[in-house]
Amino acid sequence: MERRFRHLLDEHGNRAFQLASLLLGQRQEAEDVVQDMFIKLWQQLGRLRPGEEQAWLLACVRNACLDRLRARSRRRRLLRLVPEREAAETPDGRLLDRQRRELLRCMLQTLPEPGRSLLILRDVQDTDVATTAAILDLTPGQVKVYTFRARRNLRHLMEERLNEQAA
Amino acid sequence: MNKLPDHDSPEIRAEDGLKRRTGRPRDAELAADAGLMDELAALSGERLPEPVRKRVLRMVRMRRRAPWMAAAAAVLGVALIVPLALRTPAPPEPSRAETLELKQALEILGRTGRDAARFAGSQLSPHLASPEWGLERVPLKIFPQYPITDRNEDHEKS
Repeated sequence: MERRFRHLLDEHGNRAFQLASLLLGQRQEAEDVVQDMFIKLWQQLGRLRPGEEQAWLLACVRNACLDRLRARSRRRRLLRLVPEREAAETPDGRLLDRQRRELLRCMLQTLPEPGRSLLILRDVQDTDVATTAAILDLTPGQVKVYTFRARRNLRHLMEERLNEQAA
Repeated sequence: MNKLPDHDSPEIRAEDGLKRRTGRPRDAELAADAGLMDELAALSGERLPEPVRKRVLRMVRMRRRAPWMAAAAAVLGVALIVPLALRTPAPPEPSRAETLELKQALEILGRTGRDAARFAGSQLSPHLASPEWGLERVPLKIFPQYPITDRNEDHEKS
């Protein structure tokens, strides 16, 4: 059992941490969530069929993150997310990659669920449709449609933000 | 969001196209979506910190040992506590005075019982007529302490 658990930790630890980190925006909190959820996985491992563990684990990580986000005050969340300093631009007007990445992370966190989780799972982590559907309790068709809409929504938010900064 | 039926739709086709694409889509909107998809993919790469990984493994090992330790503690506890709980205190030895008192009480009971039996016998026996049992005709010796005599002989003698 311990060998199986170690394998799961090696196989899915990075993915779980990345999901938590992108959802929460705070590294320490993400570490706490991932630690707790892996302990929970250990306790439930006997009841999970081989192959079910990834979806189960990531669903638990996501739910734990959403619980923490709900517990935070909405006001604190919004203030923290929007970068205050002017984004640096390259000579031809493009944002530096690092700053753009940071902006993207922040705007991603403003998206409502399940769009936010869908973009993290599908676009950031390249999770397949079936696993994503199992994690989020959606049909494969819903996964595709909601991902498409969330991505477009995020793009419009990014464009608005960049236009505000340029003005 | 409302639960949609799982059927083919323009958005599903567009999403499949974005995921499958080999080149940049011709549609400007879709091309911009593809660009954002690439940027999101670039956010990947975060790794679970090694101290967290080690902490998780350590906690799992502790939890593996915990049931055995709890079972051992329970067995030890049962082995120590149950004999103590079940041990009944030895009854105290009666004193010499108590023994004499008891002996006296038993003698009184015995004497009283015998007196009661004698009195009852004296009161009842005149009223009890012994019937003819015909014991002389009984082939077996039932009451050997009472000799079986021939009543006819006694009667002739008298």
